[in-house]
Amino acid sequence: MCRLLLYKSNSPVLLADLLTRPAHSIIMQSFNCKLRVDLRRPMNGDGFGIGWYDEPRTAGCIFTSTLPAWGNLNLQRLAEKVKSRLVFAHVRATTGDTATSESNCHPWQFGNLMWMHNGNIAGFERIKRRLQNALRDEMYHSIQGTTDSEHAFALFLNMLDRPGERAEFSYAELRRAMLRTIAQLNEWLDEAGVEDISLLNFAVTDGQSVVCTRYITSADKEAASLFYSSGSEFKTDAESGQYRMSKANRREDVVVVASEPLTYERSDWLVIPTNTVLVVTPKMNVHLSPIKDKYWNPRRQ
Amino acid sequence: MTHYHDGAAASLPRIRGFYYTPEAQSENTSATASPGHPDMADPAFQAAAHRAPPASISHAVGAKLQQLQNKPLQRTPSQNSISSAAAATPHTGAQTPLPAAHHHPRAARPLNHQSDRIRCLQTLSQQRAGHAARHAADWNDDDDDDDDDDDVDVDVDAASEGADSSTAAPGNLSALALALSSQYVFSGSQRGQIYVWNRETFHLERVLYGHSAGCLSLALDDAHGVLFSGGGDGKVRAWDIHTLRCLYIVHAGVNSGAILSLAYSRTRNVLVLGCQNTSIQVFDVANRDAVSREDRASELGARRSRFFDGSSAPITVCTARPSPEVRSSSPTDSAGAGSECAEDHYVVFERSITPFAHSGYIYSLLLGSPSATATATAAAAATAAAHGEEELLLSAASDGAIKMWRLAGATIEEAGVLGGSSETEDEDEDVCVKALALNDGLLFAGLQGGGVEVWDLETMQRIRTLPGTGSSDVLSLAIHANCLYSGAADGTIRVWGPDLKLTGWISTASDSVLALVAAADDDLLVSGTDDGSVSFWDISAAAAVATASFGSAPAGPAAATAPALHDLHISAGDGDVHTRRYRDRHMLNALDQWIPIKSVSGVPDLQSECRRAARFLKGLMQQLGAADTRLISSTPSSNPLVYCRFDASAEAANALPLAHRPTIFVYGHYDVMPAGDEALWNTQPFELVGRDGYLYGRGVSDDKGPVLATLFAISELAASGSLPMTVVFCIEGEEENGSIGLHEAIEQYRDLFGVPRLILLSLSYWLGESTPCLTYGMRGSIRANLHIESTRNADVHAGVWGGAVSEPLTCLSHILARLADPSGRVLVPGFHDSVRPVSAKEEAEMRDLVRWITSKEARAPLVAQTAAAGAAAAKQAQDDLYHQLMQRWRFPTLTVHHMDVSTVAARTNTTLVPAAAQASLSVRVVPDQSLDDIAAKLRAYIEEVFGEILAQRQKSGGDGNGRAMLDDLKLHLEVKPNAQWWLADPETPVYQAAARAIREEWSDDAAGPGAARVPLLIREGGSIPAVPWLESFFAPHAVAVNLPMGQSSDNAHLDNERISLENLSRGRRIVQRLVRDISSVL
Repeated sequence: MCRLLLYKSNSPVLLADLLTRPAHSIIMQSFNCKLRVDLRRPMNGDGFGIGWYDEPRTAGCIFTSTLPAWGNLNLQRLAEKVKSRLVFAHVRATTGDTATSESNCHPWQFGNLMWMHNGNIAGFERIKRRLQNALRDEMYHSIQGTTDSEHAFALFLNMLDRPGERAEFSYAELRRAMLRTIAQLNEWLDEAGVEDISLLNFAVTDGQSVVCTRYITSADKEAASLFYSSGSEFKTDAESGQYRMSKANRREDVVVVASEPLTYERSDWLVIPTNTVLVVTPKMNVHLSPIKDKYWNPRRQ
Repeated sequence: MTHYHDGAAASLPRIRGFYYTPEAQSENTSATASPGHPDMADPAFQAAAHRAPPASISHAVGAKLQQLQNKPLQRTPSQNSISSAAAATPHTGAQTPLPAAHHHPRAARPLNHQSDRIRCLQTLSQQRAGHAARHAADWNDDDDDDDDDDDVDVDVDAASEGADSSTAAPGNLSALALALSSQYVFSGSQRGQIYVWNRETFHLERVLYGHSAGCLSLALDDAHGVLFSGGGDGKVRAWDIHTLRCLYIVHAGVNSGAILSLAYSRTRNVLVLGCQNTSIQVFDVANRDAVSREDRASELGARRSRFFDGSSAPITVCTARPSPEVRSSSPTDSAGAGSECAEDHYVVFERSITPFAHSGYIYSLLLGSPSATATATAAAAATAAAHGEEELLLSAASDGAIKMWRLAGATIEEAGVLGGSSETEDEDEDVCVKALALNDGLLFAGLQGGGVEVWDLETMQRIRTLPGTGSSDVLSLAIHANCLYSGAADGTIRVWGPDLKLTGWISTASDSVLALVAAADDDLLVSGTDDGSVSFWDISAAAAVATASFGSAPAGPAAATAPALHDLHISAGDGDVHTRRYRDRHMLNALDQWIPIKSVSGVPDLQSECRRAARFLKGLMQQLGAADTRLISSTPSSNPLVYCRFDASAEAANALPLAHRPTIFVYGHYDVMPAGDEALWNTQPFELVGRDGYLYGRGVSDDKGPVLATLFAISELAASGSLPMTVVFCIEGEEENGSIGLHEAIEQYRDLFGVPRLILLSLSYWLGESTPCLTYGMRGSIRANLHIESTRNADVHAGVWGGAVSEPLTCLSHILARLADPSGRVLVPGFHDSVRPVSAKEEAEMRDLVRWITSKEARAPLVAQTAAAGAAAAKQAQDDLYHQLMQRWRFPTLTVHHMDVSTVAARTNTTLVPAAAQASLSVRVVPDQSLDDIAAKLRAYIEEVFGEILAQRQKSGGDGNGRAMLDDLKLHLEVKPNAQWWLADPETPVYQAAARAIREEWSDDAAGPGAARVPLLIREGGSIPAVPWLESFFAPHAVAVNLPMGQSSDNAHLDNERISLENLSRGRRIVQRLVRDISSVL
């Protein structure tokens, strides 16, 4: 079980303002997370990764490490210098028996696309062969590691037309592919008779649009936590000294999605309802829509 | 010597609320070319006016739209377009000239920079007001909350505030939402406070605290007098719009996020919430108590967040504002959900929530019936209901869709989708709808990235997208008199005529226009911007054109509140708020055109400006119905007096020939001081700018503002038939320049003025900031010039000749040194003999006044200086103030203004002995010093001292008879009595009446123990030569009354001269009160 964070804004943000400085930053979440479903330990110390985009329509950059995020000096140094309009960040706690290796660290990229996952595909080994078989060569060979998450990415890519050659995708296309990926996984899991619950909080971006899900293969349980916040600027408040999402101009210039709120400012953070897909469009519009499959339950608390 | 019977002025175009100077008129040929439409001076407006008025607006718009779709849009060619590049750049913080400027010459300049178009009445700053309010709270702790006169009557620009506001973090106080009641404008700020501004005075009435995150939406229920505010904290607060107290709090559903939009349904008494989490929620206001308190409490108690309320929370969440700032007029809103179960807390339950109403943030909600106007009044809503017309809810969101809903009980049912593609989204149209407005069956939708879509609600068709909106997000829309106003993220407000053509644009000084609201009962548009400003725009010109071009259509607000001048005069009292508001607006329009005329007297280059100012005033007097108006001049080089006469309403009172008729004589002046150092001004000196309840501009307080206030007061009395006696105006143009020619002119035209019984003027200031005053005394003055000259007539080298020549400057210094001792006491023999002794009564009154001032006027510059010492030194401070005031008002003084030497060389070269030296000085005299006696004593004393110096020099010089000196010294002494002191008797009936008029006018504001003290009777240290002169010239019956309108911080003669709008408006009404009942006291 991991923690993830994604960020998109109109003007570049210094990574430190997301990753290291806020009161409950993702670095804090790496050793003191509060909302883990799996309560064995509050640590996400099995490596981390950050991905960010520099130029529009060109591939992003990814930095991963198998060291715990809290002690990584390089991460601190990079965070103080790198600025970006689109950032993915992930701290990892392995599930299953996958290795703690750099190739198993989120996020992954393919062409301009970047992917990360918080959760696990239950009984993944029971559908792994079927999944691999379904992949076109291009996707099959892209897989470097051994995780369910990376395989899910390959399956997602398989839903797209020529994903490695294109600089941009429409957000509707990305969302469609995302929903088809989840539907396909569900189909195989059902066929394989897997009854354990999968947690599918996926996030994907092409550097312009972001699509992410908060999803669980259950009609009554809650998915792994996922929050969002948007406004005109995410910055330190002059009065309290804490980071706050300011809403100054009736526009969303900043959108943050994270497994746990980055601050303790209650009114700044909203829960993404379970089994919902959230889209941040290139023009910074936030769309939220329910995933109405067999696990959809409007009465779920 | 000349009468200016000016034919041109007589034919001034008469325009509703606007005045054209003859100069302006001559520049604008089109105005004279079409006398039938005088107010359509502008060609574009003219063109609009000439279109045939169609029978029905709804169909007319439709037909017009059809036409427009079939043929390319054609702009009316402009005859007086401004083509220079400079003019095409918006004079604003906004980044770029609008694309529209290139296509439409009319739009090359914002409407608010064209003198007769849309005018900014006031710009109020939330930021500055916030600081002032905090300040006020500091010293008003003992006040009851209800009595907010003191803490809201905040002088936000007092010197001490300047620094504060500049250090505050910028951009933290965006004005995000607006609502308008008949009394107030409410603006919701980014920090969650709601600012309550008085619509008439533009003063900050109150700051409402409560929301712990920004206030993003406001809705008004004027039937019940409730304001609803939606916050970023997921709560709605209901406020009583009269007491300004929080009535209750409504908690939106769990995880609703910010409440981005609100709509209130009058017919159903429900409130609809548009939320960040894509839900639309309904709060049943009428039946809010149907759910028991316990159930509400348990619902709230059950709402716990694992993250924020979890037992392992490492940090206690506290989002309440720090306490010193909070002058909460509501139950404090603590952060923990569990503690929010007081009886004033309500909850939106799940059954009233429509989740995923859109697939995006609900930015805008609108309630209305398809045919009603968006600015529907209660009456209009009732009419719609009577016709069985269904009220529709319209919602717009970040998914680009516009949806229609029907209200059904405490929930909503979808009734159709207008735009976007929230479900399929195959088009991938990434456009967010930010704002909605409804007018007569047409729905307007403001789009992200620019553009306003127009939808026909009957056919559910998108008719068109308005061109020329630029590429900035359209964030706000408002409808007024069939015109559409669209506010965008480029800091502009575009104005669209009823034909949906772009009329022009208003430039704000901000980057984003976040909120717009138009008054249903007034020609007023209010904008809220991201710099924290709330600006008031007079849109009567646009409304007039709309009404003219589209017939008499809405018998509504615009027509009702913008009566023609003569209509206005028929309505009697000032009680009606619309009339009062309109009269203020009318006066401001005149002032707006008068201030830019640089009527600085004593500057030859500006003599023509002075004459323009005089002619403007004369034209105005004519329009206001004066019986006789003229320019009077006694000497060719001096600026003319402007004269006019209003005859008494009752014919009997005019029976006597003018020369023998008792009159009221109004004295004032239209000349002003130069701007001085323009760098010190925050705004253009010769431009009227309204900000934070004040009007800024040279002459606005001294004396153009008070002159117009008095003129409008008298003309309104005359027009309403309640002017008891003849009033003559004598407004001179040389007051700041020694009133040259005044005496001669009045002597020469004495018969024009009748027999003045009351001389009325407003040429002084309050002692402080908030207590009205009445001035009953001024000091007199004598000016003197000493010139000491050597017979050698030339400067000489000090090294070569020093010792053998006379020293004029040394001699002058000796004389000056003997005029007063180091404490300032005048040493002229007999100088103090006739100063009236201070009686015990007088001293007691003065001490009482000082006590009042130090306790009530802590913010006045006068007091701030002396009282800064702290409480311990309060007694000392009061003593100091007492002595200062006595010295300023009650005792004579002598000032040396200036010393100089004969030549520039002598002034700059430190090796010369000057050939001459001179000094100018003045003496302020008080009762019962005789002006001539003091002048004579001063002259005699100076001559005597000079004689002594000469004698001394002779005694000590060389051979003992001074012959060793190369030259002799001569004294040229000029002593000129300038102004007699003036002292009125405040016990006389006229003064009592004046005091009563002031007290009554301000009584609504000065309630409480202080009321009896209003007005404070004060004197002034300065002198106005005309006042005692007029009194004695028109003796024995004339009594002068000086009604000060301005506050002590008005900065007359200095930079940033200003006057409080409220003071000016009340000043006008005080004059009316006094004059209306004057017969009983004269």
